[in-house]
Amino acid sequence: MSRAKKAMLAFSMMFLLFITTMEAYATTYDTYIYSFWGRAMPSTAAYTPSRILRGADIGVEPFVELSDVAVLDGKIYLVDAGSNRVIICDHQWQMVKEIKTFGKDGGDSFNKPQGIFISQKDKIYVADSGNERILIFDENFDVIHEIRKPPSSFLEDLPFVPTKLAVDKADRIYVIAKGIYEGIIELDSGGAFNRFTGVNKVSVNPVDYFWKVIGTQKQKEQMALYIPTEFRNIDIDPTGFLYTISLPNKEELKTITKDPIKRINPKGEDVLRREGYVGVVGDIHVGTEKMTSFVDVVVDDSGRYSGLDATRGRIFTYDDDGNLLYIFGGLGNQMGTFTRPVALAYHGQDILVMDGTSNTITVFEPTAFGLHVNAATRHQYVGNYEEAASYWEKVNALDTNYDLAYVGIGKALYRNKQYKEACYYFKQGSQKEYYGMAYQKYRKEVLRRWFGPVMTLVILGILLGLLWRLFKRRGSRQC
Amino acid sequence: MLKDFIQFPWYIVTHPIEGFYDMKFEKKGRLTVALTFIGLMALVNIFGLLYTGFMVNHYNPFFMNSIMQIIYTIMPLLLFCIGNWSITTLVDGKGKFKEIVMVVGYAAFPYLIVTILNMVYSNFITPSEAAFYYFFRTFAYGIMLFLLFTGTMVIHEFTVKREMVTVILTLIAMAVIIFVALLFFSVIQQIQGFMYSIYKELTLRM
Repeated sequence: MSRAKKAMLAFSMMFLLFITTMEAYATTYDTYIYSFWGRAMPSTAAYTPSRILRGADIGVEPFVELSDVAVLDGKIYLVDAGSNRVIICDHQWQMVKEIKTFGKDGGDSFNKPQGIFISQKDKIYVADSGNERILIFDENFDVIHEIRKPPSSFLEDLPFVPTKLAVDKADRIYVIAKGIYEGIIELDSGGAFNRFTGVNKVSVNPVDYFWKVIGTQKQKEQMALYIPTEFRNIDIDPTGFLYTISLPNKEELKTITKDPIKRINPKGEDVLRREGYVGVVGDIHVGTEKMTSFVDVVVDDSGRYSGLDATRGRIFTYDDDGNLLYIFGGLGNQMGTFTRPVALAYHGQDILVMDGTSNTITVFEPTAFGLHVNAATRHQYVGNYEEAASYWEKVNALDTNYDLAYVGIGKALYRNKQYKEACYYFKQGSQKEYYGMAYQKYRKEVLRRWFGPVMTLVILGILLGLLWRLFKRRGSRQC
Repeated sequence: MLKDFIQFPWYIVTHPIEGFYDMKFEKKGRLTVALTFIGLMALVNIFGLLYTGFMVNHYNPFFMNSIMQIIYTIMPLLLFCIGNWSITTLVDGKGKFKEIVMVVGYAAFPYLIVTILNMVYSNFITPSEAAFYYFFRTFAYGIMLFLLFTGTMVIHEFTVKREMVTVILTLIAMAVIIFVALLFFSVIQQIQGFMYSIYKELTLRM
């Protein structure tokens, strides 16, 4: 083999290697994360697009206008509002069932269904928006119940258009309906109206209020009405807390929406933890650009939740403390980007994103980095800090800019009473609060260790000084 | 050396009125010392950004810019000197510009000491003790302002009441100077743009 040939071979090997590495982490956008300082830092990709599914891939006619997706026990339920059908697939994406007609002799059908939810009891709830009703099916897809407009005063002259829904363990149904500003409609299992929950508070700015007070009747009518923001989407976690997306109102479109994602407890209050370095708002510093506007939220049983942003097609994932875990996705026509993202679902470790215009479902699968982050988050959620730390160390090896990993390792060290090391890690992760706690303990240790020797020296010094003076006096007397 | 840099400044801190009086009439102070203190103040501010303890350091080192930090320190002081001098010449202040600069320099001395000690201390605090750090920081600024007040009062031979009025006027003068400077800069920019467009026009026509 000549030298030239060797060089050629080496070069081609290198090129091949380069190609394969490119293949392994091919995303058409740069993944990033916000640091403690609120700067967008390049970050390792946590998820990469692995498949794009169209109707033909599942074995059904092409999708017309996809509207919602739900997953339970590996089964995937797709709603196609354009062709009025619900499609059920197994976890291998093989079509199990396709429902176009139902009821007596198949005489009933959907009309632009917008939402679907599968309850823990395997009942299927569909928001049949065009027909102004909610349908409840059993696992064989026979209609058990049909909920029409609840006989209550709040919808006197408005049509009841349910769009999204969620169901808790007690079969209470939480419905988001078009044009309802009072909050989320809570129905009991029979479909009777219970109450509104999670009302979005109205905020009035003082300047506008001043003009409203001094304005004439005609001017007042010309001003914008102050109405609470509508809800846009909903999910429920295993403990029965609702995760909701609020629609930003016109005022807020100029700025970052205050708390677009909420976690609503049974009393109807927002209890989402926002302990992260940046708020749970999606992109920060959008400047003059349009702000993030979430369209869907999904939550799993480890407190991890993701919001789907329609403005830039990104998926923001947070842990139960409100720490940003990772960001991926974008708008475009390439793999891993979307035209008009509408819905989001967790499917095992995968994340499914539904596109309502190009009518595709993109399956994102976690990279090694993503798997480690998820595992660490899960362990931390149940309190296995040791286990979590072992995963955080793997995360740290893959991305040294990842603040949370440092904090996670620090937490485990702190519980191990290794305060000095914990201090180092908390400092690396810019976690001032925990650093303070660890430092206090570390300082106490150091003081305890050195107090004895130092005090002994001081007392000895004083004694020596006194003796010295005594001797001196004696000497002077003798002179 | 020791006498110039430690003893006399310390005497000013402990006896501000007599100290500044001596500075003016006994020629005890030196301009080099005052300027050194101002330079040190800029230096201490730069070090403060980097070496203040993690608990109370809210500065992103990514945006660290020493040159800008020096300007941020020196500009306000210089502005005060110019503003104060321009006002006191109008209201019959007896102080010279050199003396005003010296007052500013000597007033920075206690600020330097407290800030350096505070910087060291801040590395050994817990969040609950952060209040002490902030107290000392405020104290450093307070003592500096107090010395500036008494110092200018003594060198201009004012009464307290008159000094207060002068200080307010000085602040206004500083604002006016900033305003004029900004105006000047924007006008210069306009002129530069104009000249450049003429130059471009000519070169393209040739």
